[in-house]
Amino acid sequence: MINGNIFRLDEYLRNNPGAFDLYIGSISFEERCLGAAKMFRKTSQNINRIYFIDYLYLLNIASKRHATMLQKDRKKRIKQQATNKKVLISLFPNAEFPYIRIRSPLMDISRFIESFFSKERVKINEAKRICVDISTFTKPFSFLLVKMFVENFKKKHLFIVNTIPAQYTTAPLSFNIWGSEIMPTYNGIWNPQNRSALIALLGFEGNKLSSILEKWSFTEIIPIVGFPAFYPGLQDRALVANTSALKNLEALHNIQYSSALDPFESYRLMRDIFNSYHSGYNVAIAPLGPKPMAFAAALLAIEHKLRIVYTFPQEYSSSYSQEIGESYLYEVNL
Amino acid sequence: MHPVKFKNPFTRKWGEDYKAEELTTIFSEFIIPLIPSFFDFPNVFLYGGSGTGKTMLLRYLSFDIQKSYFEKEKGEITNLDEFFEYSSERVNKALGRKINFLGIYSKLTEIPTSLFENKCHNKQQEQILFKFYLDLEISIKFISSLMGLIEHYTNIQNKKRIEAKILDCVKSCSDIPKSAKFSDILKHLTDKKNQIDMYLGSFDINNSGVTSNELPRFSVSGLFELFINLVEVLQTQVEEFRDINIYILLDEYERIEEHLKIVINSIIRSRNEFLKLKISLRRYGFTTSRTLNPSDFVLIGRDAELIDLEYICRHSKSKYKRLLLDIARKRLESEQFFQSRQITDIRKLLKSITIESEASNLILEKRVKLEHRKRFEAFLSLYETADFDETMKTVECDENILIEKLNMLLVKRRIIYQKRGVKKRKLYSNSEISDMATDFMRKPRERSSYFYLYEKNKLALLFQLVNEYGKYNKRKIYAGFDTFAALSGGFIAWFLDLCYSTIENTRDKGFPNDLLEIGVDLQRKAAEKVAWDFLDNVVRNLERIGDDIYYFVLNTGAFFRALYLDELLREPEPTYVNTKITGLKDTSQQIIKTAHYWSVLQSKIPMRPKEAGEPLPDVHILHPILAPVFQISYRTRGRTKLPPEDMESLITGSEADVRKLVAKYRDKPLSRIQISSGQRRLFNS
Repeated sequence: MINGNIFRLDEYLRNNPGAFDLYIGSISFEERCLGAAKMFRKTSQNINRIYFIDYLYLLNIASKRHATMLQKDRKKRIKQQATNKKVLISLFPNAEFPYIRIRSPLMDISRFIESFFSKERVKINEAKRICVDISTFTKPFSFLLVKMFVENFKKKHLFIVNTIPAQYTTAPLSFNIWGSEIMPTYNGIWNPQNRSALIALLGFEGNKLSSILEKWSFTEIIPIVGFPAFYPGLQDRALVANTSALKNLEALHNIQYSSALDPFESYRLMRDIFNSYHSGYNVAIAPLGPKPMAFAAALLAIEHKLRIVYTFPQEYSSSYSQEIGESYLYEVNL
Repeated sequence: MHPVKFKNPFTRKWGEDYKAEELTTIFSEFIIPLIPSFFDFPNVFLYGGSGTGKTMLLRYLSFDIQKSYFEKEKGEITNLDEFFEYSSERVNKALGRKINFLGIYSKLTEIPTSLFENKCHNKQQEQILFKFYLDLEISIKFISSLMGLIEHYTNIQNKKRIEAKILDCVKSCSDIPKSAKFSDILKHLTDKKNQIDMYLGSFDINNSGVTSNELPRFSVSGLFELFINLVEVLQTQVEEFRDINIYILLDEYERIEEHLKIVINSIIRSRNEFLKLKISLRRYGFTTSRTLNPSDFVLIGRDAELIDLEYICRHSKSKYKRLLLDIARKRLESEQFFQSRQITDIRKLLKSITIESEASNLILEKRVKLEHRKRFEAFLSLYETADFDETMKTVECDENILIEKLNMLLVKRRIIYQKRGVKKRKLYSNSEISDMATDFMRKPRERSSYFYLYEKNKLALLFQLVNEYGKYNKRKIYAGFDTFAALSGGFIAWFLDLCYSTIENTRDKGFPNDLLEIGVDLQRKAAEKVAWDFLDNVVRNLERIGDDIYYFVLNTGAFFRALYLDELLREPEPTYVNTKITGLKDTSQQIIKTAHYWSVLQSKIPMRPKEAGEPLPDVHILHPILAPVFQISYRTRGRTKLPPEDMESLITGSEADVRKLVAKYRDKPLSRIQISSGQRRLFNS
């Protein structure tokens, strides 16, 4: 059973001068990766260890027709990321910036996480108030981080930060699908004698859900839309994007709603769904929707050994989001 | 009048998604006569794209479904002979011979092979882990099926005997304790599998001192070829199974990596006389014949048979249609709304239209001017003015616009070929055309030269007409059961989608009407929707190079469409190209191969080359479901021979490149080829 509290990050930091003693964030092409860091600086937080993981998604460009366009967009992405890194270095010159270049999304992230945690094991074990900023980590990254803290470091108390962008552009997050796979380490326990059900957290790219439904088979599909959404209308974007994947399956009748901002509500909803399918079913979750909901999925999957299935993109788009919006802090009691 | 509410009986599900009780009501055994050799050979690779019915067939043969059928009619299984007899009855009826069987179904994507790489140091280790996992997966399903089979067996003595044999076999093939009972087997195997699952879900990091539990560990031991041995034990030592074919049904073979396919190939190659593997996979999913023994390999024909379900469905048209009719009937009967109104024949439900009616409908409206005549007049003005009036009089045929179009075509061919000095072709004078057309109208069934010309070209001429009347928003009608069957291209799923969309279109449109049929326009809209869905949601989202294939399809469709407007109609209804793919660049080859793999392109046995001594080409047919997108034919008729450099233009070229290509392959000057603008940039004339 998992519960916790939600805060606005700026307010929390103002009221808690020593909010955290270890922070793990990421450097991304999205400007919002700076959101929490700027607030730390503004409220003069004294954090013992700060890590900004500098990761770049550099899969081989498979597309022939769009190779030039993708190369150009990739350069732009790298440039934006380098600019953001400079800002972070100027804000926190003593922070550490471990880096990784991802060429195999299934292998590289988990190997990096294992090696990072092995190296920093002592410091992480010592830390009492750990904060992970999931704003601009890709989902595989944040899922592995969460699992590592919960299972291998037995942390019962975690802080999660999510900064939303000021605006989502109409550009898709990613270009082409690399493949749908089981999330590394989230294999779950899968009983071959059971039927299977999928809890699908709907995102803006319906093709990702289609890819999952095409690869695996589920006798039941329960879609969840983030509503209220980060911004009014985003729920419609998610619904429209996924309609064609769900319509013929008649899964549109089963749609459930949960606040995009509240992982605890999402956790409870998914737990109830899981309980209703517990007997005779293998339950998998496809975290294709908002990050707080995906975080809830990770917690539920760890707790009940559920399978996470995910569609890995081939390439990320540099213009998916704009500027920095609100930052939220989730205090999690495991 | 309030609209009538009803549930759409053609809801889409993948074969694996159906619950046993659902599958027993909608599965059609008419798929079996399409592939009798499936049962003739012990080991079979069943080729077919996603939605061709492979999974449904494998699941149909599995114990879960056998049991579900039996229980629905007879209740609990109390007698094994009765069960095998009953559950095989449908197959036997469809096949015309007796085959008793027990099927164990396993989907290979359920094995988390993508996580193996994280845990293994090399491919050999992955193979060992895969073999172990596969053995567990199948053995668990096998033994739970056997338990389900004998659970209520009334002959207690026989039941005990079977249990003892199974237990002995498990003891000899696994590390289950010697004291274990029959009821302990599943738990033992499941625990073993959970151990691997836990291991695959763990990190390789030692944080001792903080974590009290040890990291999950497991070793690949304590199990050796259990399911293979169990098949043998049952067939050699248990009387009840002696004449039963035990099918191990493996789905989605193409999804596992090549070095893991080798493990399955090795099982096939072992040619265990008791083991019968029925493996389903996409076309071209059999990518390696290697086995774990480097000097040995699987030989198709010797160790296994390869059956191409997709190809068979496309070419055994009457059997395929019979299958579709039966599937549709079962679907319609499963919904009260349709059942109670006796709407169970999809052929009657989907109104069809003849080519002639469709053509004459194009000019029915008063506002429509006779565009095809205007164009023909322009042609005559351009090439020949001497006997303008006489020629116009010769070609005109108010009774059948297609005859008029054919007459125009024959005149055009005469004029142009005479100008070019082409001698090989038979050319007709105005009076010959007039006489032939008159005779044909008088005796339309007589096998005259004109009859053959008409039959060969009428659909292609209709496409030209549709294009000529495009400015009046005229579209090609894709309607009727036969058209839907052809559009589906051997994919049952696409046929069901066409029906689904059609039924959805009838909502609030006065259906059911007195005639209990659905008009052609609603069907046309459905066909266009399904076609665009295929292009936008399937083709574009293919892994890694979806966009490349998407633009290749757009180029190819636009190219074909432009060829329909060839003044001389040299190749009616072009829907495929002949190109040797080895002549293409590597990246282009990859695009073509991937398009074939996902059935965006289909193939067929090539026709004899036009030039003697030419090697047989590779055939690339655009999937017929895409026909409504490009307003082209769904029939595999017109071929276009493209040398590799021209094929490259279709694969990676821009619109300008394709325009040049059209100019090269179509009898029309470049300056007159226009391209429509907008998001969907297709070629028009």
